[in-house]
Parts: sequence; structure tokens; C-alpha cells
Amino acid sequence: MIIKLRDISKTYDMGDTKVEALRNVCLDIEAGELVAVVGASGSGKSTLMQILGCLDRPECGQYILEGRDVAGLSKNSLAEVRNQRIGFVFQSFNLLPRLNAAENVELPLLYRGTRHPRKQAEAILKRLGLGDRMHHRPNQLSGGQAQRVAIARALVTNPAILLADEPTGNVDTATSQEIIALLKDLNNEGLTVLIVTHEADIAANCPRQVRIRDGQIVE
Amino acid sequence: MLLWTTLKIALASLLANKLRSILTMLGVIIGVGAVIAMLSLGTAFGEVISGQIGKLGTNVLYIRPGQRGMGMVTMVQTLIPEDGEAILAIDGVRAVSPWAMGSGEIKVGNRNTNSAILTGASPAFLLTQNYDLVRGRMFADSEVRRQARVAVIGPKTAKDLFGLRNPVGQTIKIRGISFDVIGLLEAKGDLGRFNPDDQVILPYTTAMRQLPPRRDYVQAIVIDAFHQEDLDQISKDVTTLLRRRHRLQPSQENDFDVQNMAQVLAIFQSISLGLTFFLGTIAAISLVVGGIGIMNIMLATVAERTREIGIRKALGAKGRDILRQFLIEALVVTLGGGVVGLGLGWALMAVGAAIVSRWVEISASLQWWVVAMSVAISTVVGLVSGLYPAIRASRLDPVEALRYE
Repeated sequence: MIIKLRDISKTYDMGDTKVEALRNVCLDIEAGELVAVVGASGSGKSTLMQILGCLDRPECGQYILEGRDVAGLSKNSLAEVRNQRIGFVFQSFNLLPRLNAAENVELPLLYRGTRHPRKQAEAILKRLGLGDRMHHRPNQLSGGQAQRVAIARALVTNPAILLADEPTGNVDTATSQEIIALLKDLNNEGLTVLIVTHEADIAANCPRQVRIRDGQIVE
Repeated sequence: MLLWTTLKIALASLLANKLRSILTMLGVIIGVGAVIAMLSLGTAFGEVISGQIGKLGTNVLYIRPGQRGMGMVTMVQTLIPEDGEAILAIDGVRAVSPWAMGSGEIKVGNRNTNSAILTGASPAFLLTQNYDLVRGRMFADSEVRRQARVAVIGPKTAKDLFGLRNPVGQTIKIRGISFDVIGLLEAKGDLGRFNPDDQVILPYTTAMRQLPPRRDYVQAIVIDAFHQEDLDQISKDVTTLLRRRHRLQPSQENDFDVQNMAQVLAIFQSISLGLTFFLGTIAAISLVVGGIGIMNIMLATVAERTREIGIRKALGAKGRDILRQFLIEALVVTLGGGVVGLGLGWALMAVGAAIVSRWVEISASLQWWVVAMSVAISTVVGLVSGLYPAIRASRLDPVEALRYE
């Protein structure tokens, strides 16, 4: 069991009203799974994603990541967990515009203190077919290329799990299929992948689907 | 993250916004430049003033006829050489010389000069003025008593009259009267109002009795004390003595003024120190303004780069990594500005010194403590102005920051 969520709750304080984004969520994910988290906007899937990605902390409940409870860790410890165990892929790529592809990919290694990060970054970019795009900046890349650079950045640290938040939201259908194919390939190589999406046909690619509505997992 | 990596990131983001970085730096450049120029020039001026007054001797009292503040010393004719002889008996006095000033054409063959000052004095005069001889000898007391026609001349006068020839042993004519040159003074440098290198020192008796206008009063008496600490007491004793000799009633004011050169020096030194401090403070204000500018820009930068901070945090940057990145950016701006400002300050100082040196000899130089201070100031400005924006950046919540458009 790579991820074990127990009774996770999260409430947002929106001035006079309180919004319960997650209510007593329990979820188990096995190593090597390919899971789609589906739900309408406002269903709480983004919050779930943030908690799974250690970007945010739940109010209560247990989050066991690779056998370690990370729900109560300090901000600095969470940063280390993000750096070492989690790879993020975002809808809008979130590459730093002033850095080229290789520099973007080596960024997580810099925060880890790796001595020669460039080699690892270049190796992973080549593996993803971006060997000729290393020194291009994000604005010189197509949407599909940019998302592959982002995936390379997520993979370079050898994470336990890859979290993809609407990874196909900003690209056309053909590119979208290409990215899903890439994520499936990575899963076939043994990587645990979790895709958050609201598109049914994307979710249909995944053997397991987790549906979330009003802050609760419904199936 | 390694410091070197952080430095590279900081440099890259500064280079990405060149114009903004340069404008921000300009505040520090001008501030540091102004501080350095003001402190260096102020220090140099202080040294010039101390040096000039020091040349007049600091163990020395000057007695001038008339009251303090009266410009025309010749109006009062009560100070006579005999006053000086009486003063010599006061405790702590080492030497006394009357000082009778005059001027007149000096001729040697077909060469002449009008610029030299004629100084009537006693042999002790050299001691009181810290003068040294490079050739020949000073006249003796016996030559003063018999009004000998002998002269000790300054190096500029010697050059005007004799060129490169040795003047000692030669004869000069002052207002038609022949004098033997017996000594040559060492060069002292121009003091601005008075050039000690362009003078002819004669026995005061000769100057007063044989050169027109014939007179029995002098323009000053110089007193040399054994110890500087005694100057106050000697000054009081001299006042008592001269009031008695000049038969002044208790209701009458002094008809002379005793000047203590050590006091004058102290006053000038404190004025110059105060002035340096004042100018330095004004310059420092511009540095504060520069620092505020940096803080302003850094706050804008943090807001502008919220999303970047969010991405970095998502990838594993800790609060302290972000803090360090923005702090180092601020430090690069201020230290870079400090180095350029050092150059600017040095240039301003050189230009200022060049302009002033048309009137006084001034040697302004960049001192190590000024350089060290400018580096220290820029570091402090960078830390102070960068710290708050950097803390704000480091505390940003990654979820919020990633949502920022």
C-alpha cells in the first residue's frame, strides 16, 4: 500500500461561510496503480490532490505515504516529502518561463542539493523524446512538448507517485491522447500514477476510477 | 540548495529585468558614491587645516596688538620688542621672538622680486615656526644687538633672485641697503594667505631701525613654550604682565590679544569633523532613500513572482530556500551598487580635490576604512531592505501561490 488516507477532512473558511471541501475521506492506493480521480469542479478533487501532494495539510485524519504518517509534518518536512517522493504535473505546465527545458527539469534536484543535476535532467528529457529541445524555453515549445518537459521534471527525482492535475486541460485532443499514452507507459514501467480529471474519456483509460462529489468519495 | 546555485538564480532573475535592476542599483550607487566622496573630501580638508595650523606650531602663543577681531594691527602701536624680553622671564617659556613685518623690492644685480615678505625677528623665530635651514646659519643675538645687515632667505626668494646658484655668501639689496645672505630656509609649502618660502628674515632691530618706515613697535610677538599643557597658564601670565607694562587701568580692555594655536587647531579640527559628519549624514540620507527603493522593488518582485514561488515550493523549495533567493537578490543589487558607487565616489573625490587644489594643496585619497565602510553599508542596506520582502516570499502558502495568476 503506497497511499492510505483515513478520515481526512478539510474545511475552508470563506469569510462568513465555511466550506467543507473534504469530509472523512478514506482512500487506499496500491503501488503501481493507475488511478483517475474524477468529479465536477468544486467537488473537492483539487483539495484531495493538494493533500495527496503534501501541498496542504488536512484538519484531521491520517495520511500514510509509504508507511509514514505525513498528515502532521511541519512545512519544511512536507517540502522534503514533495521534493523526494512526489512528482507534480499541472494543467498549465507551471514551467518557469525564464529557464530552458533542462534547467526546469533540474530544478527539483537543486533543492535536494544534487551535485551534478544537469546529466540526470538531460537523460530524462532524452528518454521522453525531447533530446533536441533541451535548450528551448517554455514559450518556444508546443503544448505537448511543454507538458512532457513538466512530466520529465516530475520524474527526475524518482518519486513514489506521480500526481497529474488535469494534465490534458490545456492541449488539443491529439496531444491529449499522446500525454495519456505517455502516462500509461510510465505506469506500465511500474510508476504509481494518479490523474485528476473531469473528462470521462480520459478517466476511461484508467483501470481504476475514484469519483468524488461534495467532498466525499462516492465510488 | 547550494549558495552558488542560489547566486546563479538571483543573477539570472536580475539579468531578466536589466533596466529595473540598474535603476534600483542607481539608488545605492549614488548613495554610496556621495557618502564616500563626502567622507574622503571632509577628511582631506581636515588634514589640510591641521597641517597648516601645525606648521605654525602648536606649542606657540601669538600676541598681536589691538583687540580680538580688529583687522588692522598697525593701528595699535603699543607692542614693542621689550615686551618680548620681559615675557622670556615667565615660567615655562622657552623662547620669544618679536615679529616685525614689512615688504619692499629686493634686488640682486639685474634680478629683483617684490613678492617676498620681510620678517624682522630674533634667532628664536626659527624654533617657534618649526623652520629648518638647509644651508648656512641663523643670525645670532649679538647680530640682533648691533643691527647687523644679514638675512636668512626662503627657497622661493632664493630661486627668484639667484636661480639655482647657492645664495649663501651672496649680497642682496633691500630698498637700496646691502645685506649678506647667511642662511637658506627649507621649503615648507604655501599656506595660502602667506608663503613662508618667499620671505627674508632679518634681525628685528635692523628691520625696525634701518628700513622704512622706521618704527619701534612690532606686529606680533611669538612665544614658544616647553610644554603644550602650560600654554593656558603662560597665556594668563603674559596678559597680567603686558597689562602692567602697558599701564592699563582695570576698566580698560587689553590692547593686545593672546592666541593659543593649540586651541585654534582644536577649534578648526572640531569644525572640520562636524562638517564631515554633517555632509556624510546628508549623503547617508540618499542611501536610505536608495534602500527604500530596493525594498519597494523587491516587494513588487515578490508579488509579480508569486506563481514562480509556488512552483518552486511545490518542487520542494523550503521557506529558507526562497528567503535566501530573494535576500541574495537584494544583496547582489546593493553590493553591485556599492562597488560601482565606490568608483563613483572615488571619481567625485578626485574631481573635488582637483578643483580645490587650485587654491590649497590637498591630497585626497581613498582610505581603507572608507572602502570597508561602503561595503559594510551596502550589505546592511541590502539585508535591511531585502529582509522583509524575502520573509513575505518565504511565507507564501504553496497552494495560494500556485493559484495566483
